[in-house]
Amino acid sequence: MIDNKLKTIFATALGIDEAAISDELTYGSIPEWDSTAHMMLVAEIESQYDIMLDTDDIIDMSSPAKAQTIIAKYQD
Amino acid sequence: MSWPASFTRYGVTLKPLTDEMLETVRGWRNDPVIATQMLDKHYITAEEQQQWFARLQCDRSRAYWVAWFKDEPIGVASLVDISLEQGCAAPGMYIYPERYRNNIVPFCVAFALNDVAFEVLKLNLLHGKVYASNPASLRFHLKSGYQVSEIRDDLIYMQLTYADYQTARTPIARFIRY
Repeated sequence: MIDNKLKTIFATALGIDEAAISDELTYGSIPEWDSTAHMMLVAEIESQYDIMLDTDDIIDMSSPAKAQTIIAKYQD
Repeated sequence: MSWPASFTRYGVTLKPLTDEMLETVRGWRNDPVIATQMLDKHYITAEEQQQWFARLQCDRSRAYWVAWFKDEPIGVASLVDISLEQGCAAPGMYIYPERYRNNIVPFCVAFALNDVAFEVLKLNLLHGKVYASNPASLRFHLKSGYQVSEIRDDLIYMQLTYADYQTARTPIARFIRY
C-alpha cells in the first residue's frame, strides 16, 4: 500500500494526477517517467523522508510500490 | 595514447568499441526502441556495420565506446565531428536495457562522456540535436546543461559549455554514490 505522502511526491515529480499513482505504475509504462523525472523523484523522496539512498536503490526504484519498500528499509 | 582511450567514472566504464562488440551493438541499434530515436533509422546490415567500423579505425574525428555498468555492456557513447582545433564535438549515446534507461544511469554515461570531451580532449563546446517530438531527450539535454541555440523544422539544436555542464552536473552527480 502506497502512503499518501509518497503518492503526492510521485504525482509532483512525474507531473501526473495522484489518481494515476497505483501499484501497477512502473517506469517505462508512461512517457512522463523519464530519467529527468526520476531524478526529481529521488531528490524529493530524500528531502521529504530525510534519507540518503544508495545509488543501486535509486536505480531499483521502478514503481511506487518498490519505492515504498526501499524507503521502509531506510526507516528501520 | 590509444584512440579512443577507456575512461571510468560515475560507476560507468567507457571501453572503445571493438570488433567483438560489433554485432551486439548492431542488434541494439537496429532494435526499433533505439532506431526510432536516431536521425538515421535505416536497418544496418552486418556488412554495413563492418564497413563503418573499418572506416572508423583511421578517423580521429569520431570516437565510439561501449558503456559498461556493473560488468555488463549497456549501450553506446560517441563523439563525432570532433575538432580539436575548434574545441568542439557532437556527443551521442543510448542505453539499451530498459531497466537502466529511465533513471540515473543515462546521466552516469552522459557525464562520463562529457568528462572525456571536456577534461581529456580539452574541448570547450558540445553540440547536440534532438527531435522536437522527443521530449524525454530534450528534457535530458536541458537538465544536463544544454542551451537551445536553434530550432529548425522538427529538430532542436543545442550547445553545452563546460561551465554550464559543471553547473548542471552538480545537483545530479551528488546522487551517484559509487
